Amino acid sequence: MAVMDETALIRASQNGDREAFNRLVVQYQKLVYNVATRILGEAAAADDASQEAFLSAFRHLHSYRGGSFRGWLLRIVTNACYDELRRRQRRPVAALEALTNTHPAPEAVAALSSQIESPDVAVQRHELAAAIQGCLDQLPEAMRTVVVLADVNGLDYSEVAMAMQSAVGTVKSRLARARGRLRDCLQAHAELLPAAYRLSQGIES
Amino acid sequence: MTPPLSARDLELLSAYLDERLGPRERAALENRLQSDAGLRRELEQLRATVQALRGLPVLQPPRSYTLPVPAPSKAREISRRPITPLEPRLRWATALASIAFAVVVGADLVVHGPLPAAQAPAQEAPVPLYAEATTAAVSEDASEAQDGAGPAASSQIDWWRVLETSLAAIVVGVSLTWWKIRRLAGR
Repeated sequence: MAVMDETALIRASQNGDREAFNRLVVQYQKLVYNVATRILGEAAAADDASQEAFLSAFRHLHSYRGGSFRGWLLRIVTNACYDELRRRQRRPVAALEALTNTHPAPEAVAALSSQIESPDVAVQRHELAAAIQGCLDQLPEAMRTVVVLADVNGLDYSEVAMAMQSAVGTVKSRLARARGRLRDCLQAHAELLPAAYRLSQGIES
Repeated sequence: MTPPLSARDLELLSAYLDERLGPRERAALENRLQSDAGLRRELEQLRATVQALRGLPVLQPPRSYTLPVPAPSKAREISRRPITPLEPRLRWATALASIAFAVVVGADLVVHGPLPAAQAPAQEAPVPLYAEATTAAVSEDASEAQDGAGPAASSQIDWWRVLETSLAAIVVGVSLTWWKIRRLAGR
């Protein structure tokens, strides 16, 4: 979407034009849902958080003061995810249920089914995705969010900083620590990782 | 066994992967990488981790999150549609007649002033007296007519009242017609 188009759509949305806002929703809903799923680790909760985030974004459009709309929207999504995580902390049983139902296995498998690859490769990719999600779930909230935004969804540091309401320097250091922790966690699943990872481990051992 | 990576080196390697180091920092790190196998290994592991994260499948949302757009209500939609081609004309006619009526009434009040107070008691006067007065007026009119006083007789016709009454009739007539049309159309 061109920048001018997006600016015009945002302005129309701020004046209450739902159709204009819906065009923005269509543009960003995949990103929003992916971010929510990776932060929450569960599809149903991510679905709720995404819906809540878009409703909240529409209600608070007047507070958008320019800059990256994507960053602004992702701040709302991450806040919605944090709210859900806090609710889980208050209800540990529900949190346990969520974790046992987690991981985007059905979606990952569906995504894989569209590609031409052998069943073995598909299973391996699925297992790797589950392993990565398991490691993401073990990270503290802020580290998980920064990795999800920067590495999984490809946002640059400034957009991540906007989404997380923190300084770029903070993003940089959090991202480094999060990557370090994930690297350590994924060593338990080294056989699923790319060849470069296994080779480097082989050199070390 | 290689010593664990320091937080500073971890941050440098991470920023190096993202090409976020300045030229001087980058050159210094590349020099170290050439001579330090352990650091190179750490870099490759971090690179593989980032690649694995970027290779996660993109998930499809289970539904669309677009907001419902309120459809215009049926009644509002119908009321926007003209019932008959005459509708705009009838609207204008009603408006113009109402304006003209108001102007004429206003002008009447300015030219003739309010109704004389003396006329009010006259209406309350006993019938015989009123009858006498009327008879007298009629006979007076008749004698004036007989005297050939045409212009004086015509001045007795209050043209303002005639105009007012006509306009009022038009306003009421057009409004009633309009109301009837709308009723027939079922609104």
